[in-house]
Amino acid sequence: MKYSWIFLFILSLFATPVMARLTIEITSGVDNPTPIAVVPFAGSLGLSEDIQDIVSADLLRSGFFRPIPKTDMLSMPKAEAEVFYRDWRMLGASYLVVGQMTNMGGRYQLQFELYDVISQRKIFQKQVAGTDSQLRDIAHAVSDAVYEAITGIRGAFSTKILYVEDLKQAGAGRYRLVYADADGARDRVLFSSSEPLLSPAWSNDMSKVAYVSFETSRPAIFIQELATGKRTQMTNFQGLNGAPAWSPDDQSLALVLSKDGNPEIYTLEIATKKLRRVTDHFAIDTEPNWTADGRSLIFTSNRGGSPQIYQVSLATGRVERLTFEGDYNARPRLSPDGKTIIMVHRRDGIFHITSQDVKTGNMRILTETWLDESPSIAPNGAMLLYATQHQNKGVLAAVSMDAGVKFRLPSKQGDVREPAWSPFSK
Amino acid sequence: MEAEKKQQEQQRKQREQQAFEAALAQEQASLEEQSYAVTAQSYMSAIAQRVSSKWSRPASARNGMQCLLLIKLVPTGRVVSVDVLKGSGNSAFDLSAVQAVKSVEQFDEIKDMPREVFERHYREFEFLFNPQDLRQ
Repeated sequence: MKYSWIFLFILSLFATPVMARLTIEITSGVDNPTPIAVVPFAGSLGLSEDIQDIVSADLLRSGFFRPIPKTDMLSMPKAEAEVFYRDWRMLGASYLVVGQMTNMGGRYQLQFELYDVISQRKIFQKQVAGTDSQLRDIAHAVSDAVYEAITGIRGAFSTKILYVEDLKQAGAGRYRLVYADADGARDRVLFSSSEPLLSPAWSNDMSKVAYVSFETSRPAIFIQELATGKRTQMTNFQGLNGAPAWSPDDQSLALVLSKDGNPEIYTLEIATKKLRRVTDHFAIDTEPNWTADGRSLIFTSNRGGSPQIYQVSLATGRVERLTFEGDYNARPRLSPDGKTIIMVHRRDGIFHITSQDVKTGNMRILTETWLDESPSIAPNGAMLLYATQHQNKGVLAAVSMDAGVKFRLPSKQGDVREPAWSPFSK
Repeated sequence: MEAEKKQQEQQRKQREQQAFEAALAQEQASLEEQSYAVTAQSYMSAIAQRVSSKWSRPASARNGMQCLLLIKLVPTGRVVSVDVLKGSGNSAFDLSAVQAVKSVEQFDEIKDMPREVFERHYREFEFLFNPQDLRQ
């Protein structure tokens, strides 16, 4: 095989005129992270947050960058005139971020610049401003801008996450619904209860969250406004009320109810509380997810004998099976571009998080997991969060969609489960 | 009459000799070109490997993206210019390809290359970045 390739190549060289240009094909690369130097920003000493540290941590977690330790830096430039490319090249940096923070009467303004060390040019200069309590937002804005300029993908460092924490001590505040930055920082409790909380889901405009609460002694779906904390109970049916999912226009919820005997999928119009049954099968139908066009739902069903993922058209009710590999595929989530389904796949008794290309059906294992729980995809489609176990404790972990990067979020007091990554703020 | 015939015969022999020498020179040249081409080819994998080891792809890179670069070198192997001849449509992908070549900076194997081979094949050549090891 290889021999014939070489032979062909020689032939083609002879066949072309002498001065025809040689083309060398590069078919593989490294998945080494790109070295980047984030210089501590001038004028940011003594602030309540270490901006350089937050930016470096963001870039490191993306898996695409390897930040250079500040103790290795030969100089700390704050503007273009002070940048000597040779120094940074010696450190092996491909990119360089410098900046300057100005305090204008309690309001901070950061001017920051990104340099391409190898080509010796400035890529951009940008500004971001905020108050003392927004210093982390300033840092994440820097990370987003740098990430997008170099990778071509919108950064998701400024987005938020929701999760449920179980303090494992009976009492009024045992279960907590927590809202935090995507890096786990600045967490705050949205709601707490002595009874379990499940399945938090963001509205697409990020103003509300829907979840399941057992506070009324049976599962019920609630909607809570993030700004005011105002809660509205949406369902109170006999049996299971679960797995709420917002329609793309935020007008309806898809959900699972077992009021008619066994779990079926319904849609609920939020304003009118008008209920519509979508599936009708003696098997269990659960975990609905909207497609981006709002015309279909994907869901899990054991109608074929084992849990598999199906798609149902809301207009016609036509059902199509999407997964065929293995005897257990559940907890589906569609990627924001609609091209990939992420799910929990069981193989030889072990749960894996896998991705499946919607068009080709090709499945790929991203990571092993200890819990059969829904993964949640970042709005830029580059990472996903999932609940797993570490040292007998429920923790959140993340894995990149190409499986190259894995990390755990800082451990919390209790068991952490049911993560939900927010959409991009509009 | 006899003399004229003799002269013609001589001229014919001369033409034949010239044609033969020309053919010989051509063959010689083509043999040389072949050997330059084979020599040029023997450097390809080392050069490709050097670039591969420096090519760190952005997260947005996918199989099927292609970027064609024009590289100009000086005989020491130093890269003097890198231009995108045909982009992939993904600017981060193209940038990563340019960065890969620029970070090699110096192709050491070029230094020991016969000058003729360098002039013919490596003063200006192309890199086609055509990943096969990424996801679709």
